[in-house]
Amino acid sequence: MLTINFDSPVSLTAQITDGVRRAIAVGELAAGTVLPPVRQLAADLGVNLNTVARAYRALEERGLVVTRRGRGTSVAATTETARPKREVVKDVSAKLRPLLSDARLAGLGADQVRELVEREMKLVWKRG
Amino acid sequence: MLAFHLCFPLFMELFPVLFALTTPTRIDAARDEDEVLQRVGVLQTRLLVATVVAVAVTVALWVGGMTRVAGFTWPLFFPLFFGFARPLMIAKNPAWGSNARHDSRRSASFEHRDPQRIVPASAWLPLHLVNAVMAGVLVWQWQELVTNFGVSHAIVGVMIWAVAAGFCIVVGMFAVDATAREPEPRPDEPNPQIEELYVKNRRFRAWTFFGGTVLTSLLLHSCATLIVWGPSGAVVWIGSIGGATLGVVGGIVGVICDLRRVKIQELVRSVSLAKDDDVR
Repeated sequence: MLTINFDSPVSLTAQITDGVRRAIAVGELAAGTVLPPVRQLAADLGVNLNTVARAYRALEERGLVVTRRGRGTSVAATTETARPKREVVKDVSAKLRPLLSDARLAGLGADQVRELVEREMKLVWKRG
Repeated sequence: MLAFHLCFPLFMELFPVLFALTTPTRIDAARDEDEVLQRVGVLQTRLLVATVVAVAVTVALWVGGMTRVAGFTWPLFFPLFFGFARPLMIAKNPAWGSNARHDSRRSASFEHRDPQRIVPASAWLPLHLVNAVMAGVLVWQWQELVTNFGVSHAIVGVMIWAVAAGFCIVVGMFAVDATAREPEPRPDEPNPQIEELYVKNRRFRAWTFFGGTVLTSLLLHSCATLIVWGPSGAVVWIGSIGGATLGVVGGIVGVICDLRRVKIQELVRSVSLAKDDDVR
């Protein structure tokens, strides 16, 4: 299931891209799965066709999906191999820091945060 | 026939107001009751005034002796329904706006809805075969057509038939494909009941559109056959009765599809609201 939030400061294209990436990460979309056509997803989400098309292009650039004429867009890989690992680690750290800061400022203890992270990790890694 | 020129436009002009007034008002936790009732009141007044004006125009034309012009006021249905009745229906129940955003979030399934899985290409083959046979018969009987109607009339007649039959198939295929592309928003969490309703609704729409295409093609072929070989006047009866029946059935199917769509949207909305309550 792909959910977008129209009130979010994150762009709709980024939300769709992240939603598909998350679905691939948790195994909801296996390699070879054909994604819904741009027109169908745009209608279901109530967004412009170009928004979905841009999200699919971004996923293609990351090597996660592949578009073949007449066969649509399908999941090509379940890992993003296009980027060097060191860059990925840096990226993840940069994204984690503000989240952890938010948690601390909100008064959560380290144990609570660890528990929260572990719970989310179980969800993402549950399908191997 | 003259009475029909009055009854038909009046029915078309009164249908939007009757439909909108019988739509129940749904007020749930996400909507402010006073605000909803106030908006419904304003839109209801606008619809009633617009309907009275439309009916007055038709009756005035009729009374003034312009009965034929009065008969052609039926397209006032479109501004009345889409401009006045539909906003009122959506104000009464947001589920009537199938593509309307009920809240700031919206979800979609990753399932690829392939129209070929609903109505496979093989289902169209008998229809193409009937068209091919009809084309063959017309070629075979070409001489008789020319003898009865003259060359120019025969050519024009066959061209009209071919364009109408082709148009019917293209529109039919487009309509069946469009059923798979109709917006199907989901609640944030997968819900088996909603999934099942969407599948049933999609199948119903696709097969009724397919059936409509087949029946319209057959009606066209019957009319073409009757023009050439049938008794005088037969085509008028078959064409008008068949066409009117298809139109009425199409209208009923449209209303059924709309009611099913609203039922699903109401369910999506209630599931989403229930989830919001859980989060709170």
